[in-house]
Amino acid sequence: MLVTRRRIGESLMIGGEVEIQVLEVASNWVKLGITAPRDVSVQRKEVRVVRQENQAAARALDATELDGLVAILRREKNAGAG
Amino acid sequence: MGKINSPYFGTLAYRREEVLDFPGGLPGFEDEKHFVSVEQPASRPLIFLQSISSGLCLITAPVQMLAPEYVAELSADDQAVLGLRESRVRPGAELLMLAVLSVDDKTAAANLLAPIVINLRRRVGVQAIVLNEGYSHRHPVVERGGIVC
Repeated sequence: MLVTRRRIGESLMIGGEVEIQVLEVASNWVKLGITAPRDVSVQRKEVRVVRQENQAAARALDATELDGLVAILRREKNAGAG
Repeated sequence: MGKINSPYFGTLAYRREEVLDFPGGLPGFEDEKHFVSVEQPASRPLIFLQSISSGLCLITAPVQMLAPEYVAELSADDQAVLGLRESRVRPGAELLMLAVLSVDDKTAAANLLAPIVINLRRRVGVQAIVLNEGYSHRHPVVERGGIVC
């Protein structure tokens, strides 16, 4: 991993066409501006994680798995949640 | 009026008014933009989100079953898609918030980081990655008395 410090207003170039600029800094977040060609996808990392979770969740469950899931949730419900 | 072939329910009939529109699809399924929600007595409290154009069917549970005080801070984009006045939302009469469930090797997990949020009045939905901290994309679904984190 390349580690570097940038001040507000300074940038990084990735490849020839992707630029990341530091716009604002606070104690626990940084605001970044990204300029990239249309065909380069730029997204928060969480989107990739959610994509993977959805793909796992898309697998059709068999009857045993489904019954097990229903049973667990009914016990959670009856235990007085929400 | 339409018909779907669902992996869990066989042939399912639905009415136009029952369709929920997801303008951006879902992460990983960006082309899936129309779903119906299905509940059946045998599988309550699960809510199935069945695509009307493919066999894709996600199994979900209301977020408040997994985290009773659940509250989501929505991004401006998600708030706009849903047509909501507030960015900080809880499940309500017209706002359904569902956690997608996945089962793997006998353990089940719920995605509380990115609930599926549905405005029932407008029949619009989005899978919203919440901005507030503390929720996991793999929240364990366990019986009371087990290890919960």
